[in-house]
Amino acid sequence: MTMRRLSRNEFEGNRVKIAKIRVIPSLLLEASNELQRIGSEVEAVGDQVQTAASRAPSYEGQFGPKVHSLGSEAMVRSRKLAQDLSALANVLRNKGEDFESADLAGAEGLAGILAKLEAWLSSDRLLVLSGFSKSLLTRILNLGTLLSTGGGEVPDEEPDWEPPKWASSAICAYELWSWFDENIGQSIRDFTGKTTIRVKQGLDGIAWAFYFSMTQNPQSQMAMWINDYLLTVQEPGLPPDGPLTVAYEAMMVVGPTGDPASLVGTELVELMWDRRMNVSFIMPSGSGASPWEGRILLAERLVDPSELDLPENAALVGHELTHDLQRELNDPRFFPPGSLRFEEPNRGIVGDSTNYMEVMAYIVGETIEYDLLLQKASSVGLSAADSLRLNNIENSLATLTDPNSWNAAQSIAAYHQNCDVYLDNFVLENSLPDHRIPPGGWQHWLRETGFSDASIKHIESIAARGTPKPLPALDPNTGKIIPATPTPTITSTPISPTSTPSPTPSSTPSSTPSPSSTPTPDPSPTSTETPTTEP
Amino acid sequence: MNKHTNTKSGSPSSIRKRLILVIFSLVLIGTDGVLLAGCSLLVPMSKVPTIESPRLQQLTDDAYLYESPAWSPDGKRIAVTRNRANLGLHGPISTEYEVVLIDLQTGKTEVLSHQSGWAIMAPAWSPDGKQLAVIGYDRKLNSLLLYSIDSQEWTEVECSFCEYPTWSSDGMSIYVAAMLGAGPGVLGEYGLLQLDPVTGQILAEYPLGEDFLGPYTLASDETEVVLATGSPRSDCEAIWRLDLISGDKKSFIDDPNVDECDPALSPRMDLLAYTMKDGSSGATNRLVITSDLTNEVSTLIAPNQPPYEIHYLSWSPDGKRIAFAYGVFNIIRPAYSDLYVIEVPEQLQAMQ
Repeated sequence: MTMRRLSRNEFEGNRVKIAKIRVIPSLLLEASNELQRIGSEVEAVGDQVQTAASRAPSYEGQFGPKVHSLGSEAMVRSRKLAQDLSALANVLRNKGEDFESADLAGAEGLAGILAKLEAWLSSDRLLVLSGFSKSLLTRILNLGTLLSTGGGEVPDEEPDWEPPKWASSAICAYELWSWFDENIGQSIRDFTGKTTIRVKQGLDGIAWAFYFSMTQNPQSQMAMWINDYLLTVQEPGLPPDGPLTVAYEAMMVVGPTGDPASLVGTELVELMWDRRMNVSFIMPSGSGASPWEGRILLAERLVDPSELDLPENAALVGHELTHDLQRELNDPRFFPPGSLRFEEPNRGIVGDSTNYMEVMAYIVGETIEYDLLLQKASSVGLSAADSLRLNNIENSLATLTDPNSWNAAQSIAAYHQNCDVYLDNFVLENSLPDHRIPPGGWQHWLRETGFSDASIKHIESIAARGTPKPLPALDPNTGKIIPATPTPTITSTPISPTSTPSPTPSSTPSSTPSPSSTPTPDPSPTSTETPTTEP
Repeated sequence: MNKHTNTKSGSPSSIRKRLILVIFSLVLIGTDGVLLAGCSLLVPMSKVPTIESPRLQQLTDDAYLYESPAWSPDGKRIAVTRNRANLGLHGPISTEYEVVLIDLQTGKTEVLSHQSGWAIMAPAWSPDGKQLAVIGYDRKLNSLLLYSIDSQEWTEVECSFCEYPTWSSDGMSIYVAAMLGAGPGVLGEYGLLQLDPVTGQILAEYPLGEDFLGPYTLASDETEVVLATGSPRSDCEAIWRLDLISGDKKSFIDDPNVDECDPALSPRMDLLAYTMKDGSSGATNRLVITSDLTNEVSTLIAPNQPPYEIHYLSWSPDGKRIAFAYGVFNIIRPAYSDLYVIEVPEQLQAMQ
C-alpha cells in the first residue's frame, strides 16, 4: 500500500485555514487557563513516567534499560512541554485581551499547540517507540481542529494486506484527537456554527481521521480494517451484527430443561444488556483487556463471530466484561476505573487494575467456561482434554475462592508468570497493608457487581469439588517464583546416581475413579452420567 | 445491590486526563510493538529461559507452545504439536493446534494442515515412517486422522473421544488414550483403546480407573503400557504399568515425596526416562533415566526455574537422544514452551 505524504504547501494551506477561523476572546482566555492546568499536569505525568519506567523490569536484559532511559527523557520533555504550554497560555491570554487581533493570534496559538505537541510526540525516539509517523500525527491533529488535509492516495488492493504496525494503537490516537476535537475544535465550532466533523462516540473520530486524512476512500482496506477491527460497538441487547452477540448468546444458552446452562453467564449478559460497549480486536491471540470502562480489547482472531461460541472464548469475553462492571463500581482504590489519575502516586498508569479484580474476573470467566463445557457434555460429550479442563477449572476456582483473599490475589501472579502487569501488581500490593483488596470477600463484591446469590452458590459448589493449588513463594521485588532449592546455574547436573526411587511393583490399587476424574456437578451426580447444570 | 455509576466522559477533567493518557500510552509502547501499559491492560511477555548444556540442542526459540514431539523412524525428523494461539487468558485456544515437521539436519520446518482446517495434535509415526497418526479436533469432537507422507492425503477414523495415538510395532493397530463409553450425557472413563487403523474397528478396551491423559509408552511386544496418572498439563502423581493381557495395573514408580510423569521407554525397552517434581521444587523440572538392570536413577538435566517444567519425552530411534519440551504447560492459563534434544550419555546407553 502506498500513501502520499502531505506536501509542505498542503500543510501550510491547512494553517491558512486555521487563520480564517474566528475565535472570541473569552474562549481564548478559557483555553489559556486550560493550558496552564494541562501544563502542570503534563509535568506531573512526566515525573510519573520516569518513576514508572524506572520500575520497568528488564526483559532478557534488553528492554528494561530502554524504558528507564525513555522515562528520563519523558520527564525532561514533559517539563519542557509544560513550559511551552505555559508560555502559550500567556500568549493566548495576552492576545485574548486584545480583541482586535484575536482571530489571527488565536489561530496561531492553536497551531502552535499542535506544532509543539507534534514535535514532542514525533521526536526521533518517541516516533520509533510509538509507531506513529509524523505525517499521521499531523493529519490526526489537524482533524482535531476540523481541518481536512485534502487528500491521500487510495491504497492499492493487496490480497495479503495487513494493517501497519501502528494501526492497533489508533485507539490512543483517537484519544488524542478526541481531546483536541472537544477541547479546541468544539470551541471553534461553537463560534462558527460549523459542525462538519462532530463525532462524540468512541472511536468514530479516528475513523474520520483515517478516512479523510489518509485515504478518502471508505472502501479502502485501511478504512475497512478500521471499521471491522477497531470501531465495532456492541449496542444494547442482541443486535445481529454485534461483535459480542455470539458470545452473549453462548453465555445465555439454555439446557434441555429450558433453564440457563450458565446462570453466571446469563446474569452477566443481563447486566450488560442495556450497555453500549466499544470493542476492538487488536490483542495478541487469546488475550483481552479492559483498559477503561466502556471499552474492551479482544484477541484479533475473535473478530470472527464463530469463534465466540467456543467455551474458552466466551469465558474470555465474560472475564473482560466483568472488568467493565468492576470499573463502574466507583471505587478508585479497589476497583480503579482505568483512566489515568493522580491520587495514587504509586500507580498513575492508565488501565490500572488490581490482582483482586483479576481474581473476580477469572472466577466469572472460568465458571462460564465450566458451565458451557457441561452443556457440551450433555449435547455431544466430552473428550479427555475437556474433562481435564473441567478438573483444572475446579482446582482453579478452589484457589481463587480462597477465604484468604490475599492468597487468591497472589495466585494470579504465581500462575501467570508471563504477565508483567500481574507481577507488577503483586509487587505493589505486597507492600500495601490492605493489598488493594476490599473487605467483604469475593462473594460480596460479585453481588455488588450484580450477580445473584444463586450464582455465587453455584460458583462455591464448583470450587468445593477442586483442590486449591499450592502457592509458591514470590519474590517481593519482581513477583517471580522463588526456586525452593536454588541451584547455581541452569545447566545439567552430572550423570550420577541420585536417590533411588526404585521401580517397586506393588499391588493393584483400587480402580475407583478419584472424585475429580469425572466432573460431577450438582445436584446428584453419578460417576458416568453427564450431570445437568443447576437451575 | 447493583452500584454501577455511569460517569460522564466529556468533562474538562476527563478530557485533560485523556490527553495525558495518550501521551503516557505512547511513551510506554515498546520497541517490539508490544504495549506495556496504557492501551493494554494485559500483555504477556512469554519466553522460556534457555537451558544451556553441552549435550543439549535447542530446536525452537519462540513464544509458542510445543508439545508431544515424535521422532521419525529414520531419526531425521521430529513431528511436534504446536499452538500459536497459546497465550490466551483462559489457556491455549483449542482450535489452533497444528503439527510441525522439523528436519533435524537443516532445521527447516513444514506445517501440516488438515484440509478442513481442523486443529491437529499429538503426532505418532507409523513404524515404516510413511504415515502420521494425529488427533484432529473439529471444534466439537476429536477424530483420529492418518496422514500419508507421500500422498499428503488424510484419512479420518471415527474416534470422538481419543487422544495421543501410538502405533503398534507391526503397524497393524493404533492405541489411543480415550474416554471409554463417553457420549452425549455420559462422561465415560479414562482408558486406552486399540483400533484397526483401516476399518476404525475397536479391537480392545482397557479401562484405567484413574485420571489419565498423557503420553504413554507401549511395549514393543504389546504386553504392557507404561503410563502416568494425571497429565503433563495437570498434575502427574505416579507411573504405572498396565498389563494388556490381564488388564491389571501395577504401581511402577511412586516415591511418596516425588511426583513422577512422562514415562518413556527406550527403543530397547530397558531404560525408562521420566520427569520428576520433588516437594521442594514446585515444578516438574528433573529429567531422569532409570534402568531395570541397575535400579539406579540418573539425572540428565534439572533446570531449577519454576514455573518452567520438562514434559513430553520422546526417544530417538537409536536410543541415543531424547526430545522434550520445556516451558509452561497449563491448560487453562497461558502456556508456552521450547523444544530441546538431549544426548543420553554413553554409559547410560551401554546399559541397553
